[in-house]
Amino acid sequence: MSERLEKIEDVDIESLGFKEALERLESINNRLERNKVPLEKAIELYQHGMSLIEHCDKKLEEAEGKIKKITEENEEEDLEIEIDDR
Amino acid sequence: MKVNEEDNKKFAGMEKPDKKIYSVSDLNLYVKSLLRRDDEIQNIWVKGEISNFSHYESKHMYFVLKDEKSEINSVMFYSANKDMDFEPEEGMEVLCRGDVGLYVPRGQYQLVVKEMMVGGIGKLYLAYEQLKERLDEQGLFDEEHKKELPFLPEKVGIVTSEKGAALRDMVKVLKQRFENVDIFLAPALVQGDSAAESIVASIELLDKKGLDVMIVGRGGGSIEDLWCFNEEIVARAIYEANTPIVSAVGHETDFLISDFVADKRAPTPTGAAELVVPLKAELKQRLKHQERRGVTAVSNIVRGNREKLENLRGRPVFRDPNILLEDRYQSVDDNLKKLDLNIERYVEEYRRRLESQKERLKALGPFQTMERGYSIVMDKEGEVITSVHDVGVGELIDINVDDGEIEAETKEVKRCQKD
Repeated sequence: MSERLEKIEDVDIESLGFKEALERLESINNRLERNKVPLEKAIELYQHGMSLIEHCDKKLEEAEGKIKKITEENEEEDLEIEIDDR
Repeated sequence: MKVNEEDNKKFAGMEKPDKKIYSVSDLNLYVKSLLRRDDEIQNIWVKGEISNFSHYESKHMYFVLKDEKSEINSVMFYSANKDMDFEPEEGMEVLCRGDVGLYVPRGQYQLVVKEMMVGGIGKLYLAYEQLKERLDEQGLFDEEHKKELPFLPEKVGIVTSEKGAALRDMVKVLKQRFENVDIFLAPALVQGDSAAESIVASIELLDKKGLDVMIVGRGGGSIEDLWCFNEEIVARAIYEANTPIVSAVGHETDFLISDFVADKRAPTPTGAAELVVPLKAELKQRLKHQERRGVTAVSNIVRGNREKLENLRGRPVFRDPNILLEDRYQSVDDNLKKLDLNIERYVEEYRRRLESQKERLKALGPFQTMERGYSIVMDKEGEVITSVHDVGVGELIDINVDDGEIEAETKEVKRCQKD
């Protein structure tokens, strides 16, 4: 795991899925909590972690999803579905 | 099964059989065991009409199953019939599952019924069991074919009736849990004769859309209503799809074939929606938690480093750098002192060595010999005369003795033969 994290600068955060990003974040924290990381590396990991959080946040806050209906003729049309919120 | 002595006597005179003699009980027991051992007639389905039905005090049911040409005695014990949702009647067309056996006291071959279904459902159920077994053998239900559901899908497909409450329930739950997902509905008929074809078409349609996950299902209903989810073409479409599929037909017990073949099974459409999409609030919480962990861990590291630094800074050297210089001064003085001492000792040592060499030199020199009466003779130039050839007659020479000099003149030079 630590080996995978060795080159954090090589990781393209944008390409990570939410789950991968979250798992990366967790292992970075595991590493930081073990407290054996030199200060410079710690700061680097921390910054990487913050970028991951930002990325995850963005994933969570993306615009509201659409509802589409797909027909056999392979046409897509927006669909309004009334939801009873009671 | 051994023929005993008495039997031998009783049947004496009869032609001795070359095979052993059975008692009736033994024969029946043996045939019973034969029947039980034959898998072909164990756990089988038999269809027929009920006649001579009687339901005893003991709650066991006894009846005859028959068709136009033949009949078989049947028994359904209480343990098997207690969960039945109908009471069998005379003349009823039924489908029975059971084992062929033999009632030893009467030597009567019979069907021990484990399960009984009536009419159309019976036929459906039989078909279901057969299809399930066949698909299972073909590996459609194997765990290794099951695709993992994505942790956080962005595009969710739904195959269900456009009109049903199931769709609204699913959309509602999906949006409540994670409003950013895109939902793609491919409407399908979910009951009736053409339902299976319609479901298959919609699954294939959505599978081409590159969705992250797909829900295929409908709300609850009678077993006949749900039957399309037991159709082979539906099972195969689910199996063939590249998109992970959650089967979501509202029913509690008896899984449908779609449940077995799907990558995940949910008991209701709502359950499927919950399965497919994580709760956003929970994700945010997890993210927050990780953020806090990171901040805490890094500030611990920074604090640890700072403490180390403070520790170092607290040492005497850093508090008063002069200490370093004082030490140096002192050290210089020390060395100077040592140097002085060393030089004195050095000089002393050499003086002593010089003295002792002087003594040695004195001992070797001529002066002590001269004390004993020897003398050194030199010419006018001060050259020591060691041979008769060094001096002529009438020359002035100096004779050095221990306490002075004697000036003299040579009268004769004579060489004497050295032995």
